[in-house]
Amino acid sequence: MDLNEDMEFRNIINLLRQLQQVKAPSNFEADLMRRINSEKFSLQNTFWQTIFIPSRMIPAAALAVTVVLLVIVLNNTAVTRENPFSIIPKERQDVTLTLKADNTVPVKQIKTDKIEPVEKNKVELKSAPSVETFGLQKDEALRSESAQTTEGYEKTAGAPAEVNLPEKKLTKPFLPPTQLTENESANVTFASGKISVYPVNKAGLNFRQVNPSSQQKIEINQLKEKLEQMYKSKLK
Amino acid sequence: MTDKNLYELTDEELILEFQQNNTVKAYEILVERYKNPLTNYIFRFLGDYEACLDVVQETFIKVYRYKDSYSSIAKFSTWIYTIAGNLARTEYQRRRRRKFFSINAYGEEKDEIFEIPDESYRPDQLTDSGIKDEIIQKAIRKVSPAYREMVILRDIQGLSYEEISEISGIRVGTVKSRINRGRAQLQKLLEDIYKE
Repeated sequence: MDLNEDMEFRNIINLLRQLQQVKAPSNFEADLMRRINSEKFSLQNTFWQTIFIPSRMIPAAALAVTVVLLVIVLNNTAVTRENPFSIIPKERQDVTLTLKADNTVPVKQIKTDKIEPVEKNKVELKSAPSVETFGLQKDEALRSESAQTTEGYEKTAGAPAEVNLPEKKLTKPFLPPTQLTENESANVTFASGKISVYPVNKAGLNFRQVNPSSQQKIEINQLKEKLEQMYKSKLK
Repeated sequence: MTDKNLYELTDEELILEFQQNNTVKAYEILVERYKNPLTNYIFRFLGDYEACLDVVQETFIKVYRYKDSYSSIAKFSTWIYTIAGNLARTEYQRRRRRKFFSINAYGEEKDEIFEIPDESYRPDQLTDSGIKDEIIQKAIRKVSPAYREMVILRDIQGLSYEEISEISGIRVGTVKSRINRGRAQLQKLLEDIYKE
């Protein structure tokens, strides 16, 4: 095959072979040796020898230290914010009393979230969660230094917890103050004395967080003073 | 070792002598042996005598500087041709880029193939055979570089396919096909000459 190809191109091969040889000039060696002698050939250092020299080590070390410092600083200042949409809302740990809508049987919700229906006429509110204060009773509860806030209700753990419902106590299921009608009232006994709890309609409660203006604050303070005076006059 | 003995040594023995004993005479003998073949090869490839001399000198400087990187497994001629070929290709690319930008700067001859100018031929110095050589040289320069290199090494330098394969780092089959394609291109370009 090679021979055939060579035969095919034999003319061109002959032409190329007949070409005059281009020669180097007579002073080629002299020029070459001059160039070689003019260049300084230092001994080639190994890779590690070229790496571990101060001119390279110092910047590299500085860079490494900077990176380490940056990592430390950034790690300490980093704020890990939780996505609010991925937070599971906390279960209510307190005891709440709710009424079943159908037969108005109070339901006791315990910490385990287990809902147990409470039998009629067996409600005995002698434990702390049963004492609930509103409005006027708030200050009293605070004075007892054992008040615990639970979403609108205030639970007095240390206070003598005895709620004397009206005559309907045994015949009618317990109604929290919010569920009392306007004509009903609950008597709460504190260390300082026995007071009546007036019903407060749930509808009247405002759970919203309001930022009152200065004018509104003045009005609120005036109302507070009035209420305090009323409270004091009641105590007397 | 005397100078007379050095002349009797093969290329491989000479480079070994230069490697082990740093005998500059051995190196000089190698230069003497290879300066003309390399000059011929590089000139046919680049087409510029001055540039060719620079490349050849650079080749020998590399041999001097990196003599320890030569392994006795390979032939010395293969090693030195590889160095020269690489340098020639680099120089060709560099000159081509320079030519491209210099032409584009004037906005002329954008569609033409940019060839390296050959300033070594002077009409007043040329004989008939010289004119023929010039035409052939011009034709060689028009062959694409990949084929040109192979054709020069095979048909002008007279190297074997295996040696060319080693020098260029491509398979023998590819070398053969490239040589034939280069020859075919040359045949087309030189039809008038070889018919005479």
